[in-house]
Amino acid sequence: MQILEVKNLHKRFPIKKGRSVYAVNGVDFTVEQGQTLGLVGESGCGKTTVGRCVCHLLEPTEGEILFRGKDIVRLSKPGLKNLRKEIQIVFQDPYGSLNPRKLVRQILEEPLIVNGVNAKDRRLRRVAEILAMIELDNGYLEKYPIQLTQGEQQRVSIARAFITNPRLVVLDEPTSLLDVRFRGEIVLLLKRLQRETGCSYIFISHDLNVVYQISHRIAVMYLGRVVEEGPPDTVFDTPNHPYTQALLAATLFPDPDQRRTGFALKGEVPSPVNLQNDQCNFASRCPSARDVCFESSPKLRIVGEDHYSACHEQESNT
Amino acid sequence: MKLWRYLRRRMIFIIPQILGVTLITFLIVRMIPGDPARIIAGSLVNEAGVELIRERMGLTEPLPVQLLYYVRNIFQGDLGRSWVTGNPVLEDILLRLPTTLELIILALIVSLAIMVPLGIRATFSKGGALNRLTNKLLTLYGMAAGAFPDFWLALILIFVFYVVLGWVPSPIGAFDIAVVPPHRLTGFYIVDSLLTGNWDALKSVCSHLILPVFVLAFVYGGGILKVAMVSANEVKKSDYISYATICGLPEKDIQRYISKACYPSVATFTAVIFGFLIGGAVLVESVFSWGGFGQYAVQSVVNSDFAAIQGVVLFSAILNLVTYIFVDIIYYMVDPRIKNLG
Amino acid sequence: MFSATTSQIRDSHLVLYLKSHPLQAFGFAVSIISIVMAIIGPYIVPHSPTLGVPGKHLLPPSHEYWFGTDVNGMCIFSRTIAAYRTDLVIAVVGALMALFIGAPLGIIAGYFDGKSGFWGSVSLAILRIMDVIQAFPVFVLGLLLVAAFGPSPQNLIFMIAVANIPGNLRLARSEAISLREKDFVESARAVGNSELRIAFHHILPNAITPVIALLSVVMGFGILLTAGLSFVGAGVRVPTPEWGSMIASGGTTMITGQWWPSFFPGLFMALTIFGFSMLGEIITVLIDPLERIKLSSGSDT
Repeated sequence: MQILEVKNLHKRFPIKKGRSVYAVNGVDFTVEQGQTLGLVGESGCGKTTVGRCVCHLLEPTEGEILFRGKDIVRLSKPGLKNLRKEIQIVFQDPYGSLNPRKLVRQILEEPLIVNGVNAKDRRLRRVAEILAMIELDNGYLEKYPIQLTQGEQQRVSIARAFITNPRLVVLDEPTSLLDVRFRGEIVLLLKRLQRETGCSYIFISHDLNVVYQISHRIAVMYLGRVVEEGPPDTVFDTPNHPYTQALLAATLFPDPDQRRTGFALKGEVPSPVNLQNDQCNFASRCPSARDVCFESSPKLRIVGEDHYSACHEQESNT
Repeated sequence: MKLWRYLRRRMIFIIPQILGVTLITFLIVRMIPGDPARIIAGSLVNEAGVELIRERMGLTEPLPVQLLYYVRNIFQGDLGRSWVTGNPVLEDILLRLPTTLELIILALIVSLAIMVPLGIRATFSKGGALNRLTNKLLTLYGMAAGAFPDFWLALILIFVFYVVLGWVPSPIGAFDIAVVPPHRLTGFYIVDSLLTGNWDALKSVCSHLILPVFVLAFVYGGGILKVAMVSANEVKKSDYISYATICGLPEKDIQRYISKACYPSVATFTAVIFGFLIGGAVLVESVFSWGGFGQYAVQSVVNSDFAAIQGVVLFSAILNLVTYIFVDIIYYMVDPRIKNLG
Repeated sequence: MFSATTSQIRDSHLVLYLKSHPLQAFGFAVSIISIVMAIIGPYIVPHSPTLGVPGKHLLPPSHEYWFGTDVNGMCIFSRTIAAYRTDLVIAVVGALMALFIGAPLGIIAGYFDGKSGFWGSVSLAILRIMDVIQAFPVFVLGLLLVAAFGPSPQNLIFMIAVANIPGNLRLARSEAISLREKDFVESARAVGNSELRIAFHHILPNAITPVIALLSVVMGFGILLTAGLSFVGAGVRVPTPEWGSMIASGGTTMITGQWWPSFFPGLFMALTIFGFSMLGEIITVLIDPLERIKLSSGSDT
């Protein structure tokens, strides 16, 4: 069953003199109940913007976001309040996302307070429960964020997201600022929490290794569009889009047998200011770009079992 | 041309400020207890006469109409008439303002000329007991000078240098009684003495200026020294100065770089002091019976001289705003980024 | 290390800092004494601070009158000590008012800066009002307010508050502007906090410390303003013991050689202002986590 369906999502940020940054340019994807969608791409490709639109931290310029079949883009105030319980987010910077002047207990209590859990003992019971789930003992309740390790800070951040029992959690690069030694334990924790609560994830990252470990589906983004989508094994073993191939070629996998194929990317990502979307946005850097790539924008098409790609090259091959 | 455009953009912010100042001044002055018509009439005029004056002054009109009259008069250069001096307020102010400005500007020039080079030199001092001691003393001065009430320091210095030592002339006014003041051209005593070639007056005014200028320069120079030292230290730590140093640039050039980077913060701070002193100089003025703008302000408050209060407040606020524009121009000239990018 | 409570950590930092900075330590001691004097001063003075003894005017400092007597025959030592309460109460209450009004308004002005909607307009309006208040030179504004409302201590407090609100407000505002970009603010929004709750529960506690550090500087400035206005006769009046009016009453006798009626109140006033400015310096250093780390590591090794 689908828990989230994003249709033709656009987000433009106006800058000076009537121009806009085109951060997201028509993105579609779905997230299945209890599963993880991995959203990958270089920094600036719009993946974080997509995540914030889903959490209602940004308002999309165009498009629909259906959560359990209901459009959440235009919500009334009480409706929004209910939604906050259901969709949560974990940020990249574990220290920056915790208010430095509050105790761990206060940080964890707050979502319950603003969501109307008025009985203090009920709140504290829930805080204790969630603390056990993230494997921290009660001693942590009376500490300030600065007294925790990075890994513990990120655990608190995750606990805060889970405390209202959300059905969907957006994980915005939750491991990329962490020390390598904390990454593995956070990924394992997230997988276990998903098993225990049946919650769905959108996992945003540029780290293909981590995405591969945690995702049930992967969507590769480039300049505000999804260029390839499919199950992790399919996408990683038989990448279709030239951009995905380049991305994989540039990644080191902790596996000596893994062959490095593909090519290295050249040039810079084009400016997302006033993007026309009348051509393939990747064409300027694509080694196999042809005339057609500069004339029209490719759509996502099926290229294999449950495997989609947006490339003119592959279109003509099939 | 570009400077003009830059200033015009700043002006857009100034105009609402001036309107707000005018409105607030008008309203607060209306709250001052006492009846201006009665005060002007004096105690000999009967109630009907007072009513007549009231009507002539427009005080019977509703408040918004009064405000309108008031703004119209300001635009015609009419700030009303002081009942204490009997002169138009604008005339009174223009007569006294140069006297105060002369005092403030001299004091600021003296403290800038001494404190800025001292502050920058201090960041370069090499080791050695003497240098360390100098630096300690400068730091102490920078932190402590601002705590001295200037009017108190003025009194103490009068006691020491006039009463005990007799080194300075009597601290009353700008001239000795025996000296004929120079013919008034600009209102700045030193300038007028020079222009008219009145050397006796020049000598007299300079000897009378020594103490008040020293007091103001001493008290407010502390802050200037502190700002200069702090910003010089900050600039000195920056990478481009380290780079200049390892490139082997002579220390003199590096000092010049650093002083250039310090000017904006020193200029801002000086402007704040200047704005404060437009009113605040009254304390020192009254100790030396200087007869400037500040003393006029206090007199008007003490005597409930409505028109004068209104004029003084408006004038000083505008002067204050003009100072900030002046600082902007200095910024503009000192900082190439504003010039080329702004 | 983490077992110690935060207050213990701060105490030891304070001691460490004062040990290595004698001037600041002196200022700290002076401001503590000032505050104590403001509380107990009027009860410990040897003579009445408001009643003159006929025939005993302008006596030089002696065994009986440590600081001499003034033109009215009042004991200058008693008046100087009793004036702590007058000047400090006016300055402290004025500074606190400026803080309690300026800081929350500054948070609103900063957090909603540049945004649209109701609070965005409020933010803009606050800024414009501050622009106008700041256009007045402080001393002239003081004179104007005293002229309109009379020279009572309450009005001096009000005047000090008005004159210092813009400074407090702008400091809080700039803090709020930099804080609102932080992730923890976004997190607070994601868990469902309302905008106002974010501004006051999340931004305010983080933005308030530098504003508190400014408090003691504002207090020193408040004493200068109070004394200055009293000096020109637009503030507290004799016989209420107050430093500025005491200096003024001694000003006329200075020329005839009686220096003591002005000298002592001015000296105590300068010391107090110096003490408060050092206190501000100490707080500024101690609330900076980097400076705290420097302090403790510098002494451990």
